[in-house]
Amino acid sequence: MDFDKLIVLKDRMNKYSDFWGVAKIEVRKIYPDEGNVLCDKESYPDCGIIEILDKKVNTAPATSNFVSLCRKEVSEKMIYNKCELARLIVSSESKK
Amino acid sequence: MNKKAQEELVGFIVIIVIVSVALLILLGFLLRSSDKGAVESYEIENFIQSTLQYTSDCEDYTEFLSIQELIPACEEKRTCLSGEDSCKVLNNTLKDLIETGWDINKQSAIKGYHFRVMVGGQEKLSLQKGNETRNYKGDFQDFSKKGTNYEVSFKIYYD
Repeated sequence: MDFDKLIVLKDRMNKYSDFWGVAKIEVRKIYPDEGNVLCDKESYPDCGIIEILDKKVNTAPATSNFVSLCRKEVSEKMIYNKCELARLIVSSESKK
Repeated sequence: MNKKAQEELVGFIVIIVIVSVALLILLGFLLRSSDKGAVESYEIENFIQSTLQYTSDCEDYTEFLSIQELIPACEEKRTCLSGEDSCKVLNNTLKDLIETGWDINKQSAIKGYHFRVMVGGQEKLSLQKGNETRNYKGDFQDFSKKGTNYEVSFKIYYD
């Protein structure tokens, strides 16, 4: 997953909220552990949770899987791809 | 208490015992089936792939090496630009990735893991923790570099 694009998508989510067909989408960085710091343009990339979508409704138990969360990083000598370990967590709306 | 009343009481107790045993068996089945959902095969598959893509702190002259690049670097006994042994970085990074990614302890449904790297059919790296229970899920991913075949496998053991 492209971390840079996720941050852009998060800011424009109101345009795409009906696109996904689920109630909640979140990406949580696992390693390195950045705690519960929410990701936005200010905290990026040293943050732990990217809230992509939250319709604020009752949700069914979430389904999740490991993903590689990658971004462009600049060091003294070069620009390189830095990939970290994260979990994509998706919940659908609970009808109960 | 007359004899008929005694017989009825014994019958009632027998029925209670039978129903209790049936409920316990049902509860056992329900708990067992819920444990099977503790780990899904697709999680293992994605964990291996995401781990191989993880960018380590080991830098060579051109880039920071991913785990998939660090495994051959370790096999070739290369050192990182910082002077650290690539195998040491590989071991430490893998251990951190696994133990942060999976909740492995006595209280958890997940009881242990076994991560292996095979090079040309021979085991070159083995990381293990916890107990190897009868229930497990695992997967493997292979790749090759400079004509050498590598296989990374990962098993998660659960109750």
